[in-house]
Amino acid sequence: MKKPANTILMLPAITILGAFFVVPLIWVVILSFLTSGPTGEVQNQLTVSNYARFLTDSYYLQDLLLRTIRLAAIATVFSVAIGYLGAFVIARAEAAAQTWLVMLVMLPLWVNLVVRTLSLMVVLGRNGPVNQLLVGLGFADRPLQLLYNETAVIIGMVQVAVPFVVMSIFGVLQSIPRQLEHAAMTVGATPLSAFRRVTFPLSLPGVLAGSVLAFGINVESFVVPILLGGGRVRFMSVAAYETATISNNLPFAATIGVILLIVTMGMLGIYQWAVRSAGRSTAVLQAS
Amino acid sequence: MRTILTAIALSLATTMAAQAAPRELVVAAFGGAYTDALKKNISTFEKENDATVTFVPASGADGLAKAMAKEVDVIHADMAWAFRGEAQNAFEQLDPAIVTNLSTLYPRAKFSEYGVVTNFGQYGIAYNPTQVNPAPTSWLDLWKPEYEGAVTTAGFDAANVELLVLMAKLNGGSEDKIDAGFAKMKELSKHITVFYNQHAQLLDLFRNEEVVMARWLRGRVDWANKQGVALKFAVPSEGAIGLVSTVHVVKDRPNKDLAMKFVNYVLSETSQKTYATDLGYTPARAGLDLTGVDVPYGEDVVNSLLISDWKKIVPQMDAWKERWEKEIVAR
Repeated sequence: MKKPANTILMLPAITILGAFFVVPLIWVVILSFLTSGPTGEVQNQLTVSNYARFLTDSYYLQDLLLRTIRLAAIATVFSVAIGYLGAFVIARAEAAAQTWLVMLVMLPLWVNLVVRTLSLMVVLGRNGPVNQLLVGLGFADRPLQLLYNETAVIIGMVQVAVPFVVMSIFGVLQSIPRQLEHAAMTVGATPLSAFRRVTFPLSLPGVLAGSVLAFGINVESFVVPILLGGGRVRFMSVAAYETATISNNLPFAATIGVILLIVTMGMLGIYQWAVRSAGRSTAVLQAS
Repeated sequence: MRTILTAIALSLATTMAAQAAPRELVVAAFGGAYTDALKKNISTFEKENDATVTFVPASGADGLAKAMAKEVDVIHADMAWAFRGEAQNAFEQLDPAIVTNLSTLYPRAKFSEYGVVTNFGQYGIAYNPTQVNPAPTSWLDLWKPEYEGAVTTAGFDAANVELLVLMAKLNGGSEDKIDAGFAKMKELSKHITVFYNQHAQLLDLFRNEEVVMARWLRGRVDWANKQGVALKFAVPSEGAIGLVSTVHVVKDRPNKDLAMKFVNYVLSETSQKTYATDLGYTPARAGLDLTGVDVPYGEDVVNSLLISDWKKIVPQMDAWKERWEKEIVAR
């Protein structure tokens, strides 16, 4: 049992979280079980019809939910790969350079997401530098359609998530003593196997934290699919927003939100469990 | 010495003004240039009524939510949200004794007893004159095979609902019989690479010549020309699609009479002219002198606009939006 003083100290946090997070969330869940009238008024009539509408329609399941998860997952894989590389480079850099490199990674976060996404549209545009390079080097005869498709959305999500991944992996890599790697190499490990057998397993908590963060950010992406998807790439968050603001069906919008929340939490739970048990088995292997 | 006296006089004046406590009016409007235009002459209104007017940027779902929560005195809306608000009993009936300017409006501007249209915008076809020759004359020109991949329109917004209904009507349908409209829009969607979402985005699409023809607002074409992208605007023979801005007094707020006076103010000659000069919108008020202002004006213009029966459309919006996603957005 905690001391009462601790409970009192936690009160402000509990109050704020309760008022601004738990209560609205409960309201959204309740809303998802209500119905919407013909002109958008919420009717106090409990029903599961919103869930039935979503779960029995392949459009909502396949085109919306699965696509959202698929795109977020692919983007997370790329974010973690790129982010690990970045974190590794920073962790191995000189102390003076580290500060600057970390600054460089954080720099994009100071720019508004809409602005960043719009600039990405310039970069990937028909006359943008990427296309000029591709055409200039002879990889393509004419500018490619890089925007307004799933690839563009994935690129956008990777761009958003990478700084977070870098920061969470960098922290963990920093805390791993270099002596462990050196020790492995003195007993005959190549640098690659030292990394594979020693550094990488030890950095798994960072990878786990980074990928959970990246997936969480990606799956709730809103600006990126709207702008880079060009109205062609459907996404859960956008669908929830448009169901509220265009269709004016608040209960169904709430349902989309709740389903996304449940599925995401479920997936993250399974993922954490899988990575943890994988981490344990590596540890056991190494101990034996 | 004089400055000190002025300072004393000023502070006295402000203290007295503060004691008189001017009434506060909160107005939800579309934000940006629209709110700037509303603010342009607001000091006269504030002085005449001893009031301060605060503008909050909110429209659509947000605006109606604020009205239902009684957080604002006046809201701006479009046809869909005006009907929803009226159906949800969010608005006060306009009082013709206070809103005396009601009598000066074109009949089409009288939305209902619960709101009024303040101005009309025109959606037509914006086109790149060097690429599109001859100039477009019909909405159906967007469907022409030679422009496949180089035309665009926005997502499922009010103007596309109008286009959808127009296509239904041209093919024997109506607001109640929309199938033909969806079939036609599906054809169009095959020619569209990107549904634009932001005006700046469409401007870039025109600038890079990724798009040569688009459904766009008249005022935005002027804006594009100022940005150095030479475009022309065509009013299709079927008529321009109407962009409608309405204004409503929120029910059960303390300063109801002041809110009514504000509605009267936006219908005044000065405000109505400002809609034309500053925003390029057609005023709802008849009998204005708009010489030298390049904005279509007059009862003929207002009556020629394509504005569907939104009372029939609003209850179908949820189903239509789902259908749009399934049939139009899908590739």
